[in-house]
Amino acid sequence: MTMFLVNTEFVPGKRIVRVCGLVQGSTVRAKHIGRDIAAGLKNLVGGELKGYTELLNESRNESLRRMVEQANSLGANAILNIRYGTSAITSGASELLCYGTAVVLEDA
Amino acid sequence: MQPTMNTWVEKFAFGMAIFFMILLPILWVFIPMSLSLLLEGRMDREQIGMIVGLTALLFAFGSAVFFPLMCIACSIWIESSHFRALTKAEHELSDMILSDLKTLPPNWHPNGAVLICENVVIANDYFKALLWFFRKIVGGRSRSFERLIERGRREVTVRVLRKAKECGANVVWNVRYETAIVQANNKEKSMAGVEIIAYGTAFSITGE
Repeated sequence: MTMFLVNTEFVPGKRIVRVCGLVQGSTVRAKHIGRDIAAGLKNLVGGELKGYTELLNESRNESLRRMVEQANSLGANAILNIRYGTSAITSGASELLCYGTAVVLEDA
Repeated sequence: MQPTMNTWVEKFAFGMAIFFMILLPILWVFIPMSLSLLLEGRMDREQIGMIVGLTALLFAFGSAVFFPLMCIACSIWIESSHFRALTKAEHELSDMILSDLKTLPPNWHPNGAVLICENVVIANDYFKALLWFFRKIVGGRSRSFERLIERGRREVTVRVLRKAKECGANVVWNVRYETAIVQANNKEKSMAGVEIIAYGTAFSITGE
């Protein structure tokens, strides 16, 4: 089932039939030593830390997937008004949160 | 895909550093010693002492003077080339519209809605962090960190617009930015970098 995932409060051309509630997905990720050493070397010249970018990208996609799973179990076919949040738990790990409103849409 | 950033410069810098710090001292020791052993049959104490001393001097000069200078020069070059590439990319993507409003204007007809989320993790080099340590003593603006965050924000905006263009959209709506600090593992308060996320919904608008 293809699900609409949007940041806005509306999807063009569709009407909200039922609001299923707030859904969220989160992951807690820690770095691993290889990327840490590479980042330490990168700190000599500065610039983008590609290892960390990929790591955080993957974990964000994972939290998005968990949110979609939760919405599917509620019987929704779209998630509106998605927001992301990050917080550092310890100095080695951070939580990536993704939350939105799961709704059932039909054509307007 | 990170087409606005350069990687070959860092490889070149490390290659040069390794060459000057490791290979050149080894060549300066190995080749003279082997040549004199071949030609004269033995080397006396004075010659060995001079060669080892010069090697140590070369290694010290390489690691204490040449290597930091090389890193600083590389970081300056990386930063300025990133700014140039950003200006060029923003000019190419200037036909896209980015907004943080919640509702579309009434005369626009949107088609398709895709969530776009891009991130970048960006770091300053060690020497700028050292200068920041001195700056913290008197307080005030830190223009190097301002430039860093501006680079990260512009880079992530360019990535969002590029991805939206790939999806066939021409407008990105309800854009939000988030920042998080990536901390170094062994030190509590030092930062290894800054992560900047931008996310929004991409529409293709007809009837503007």
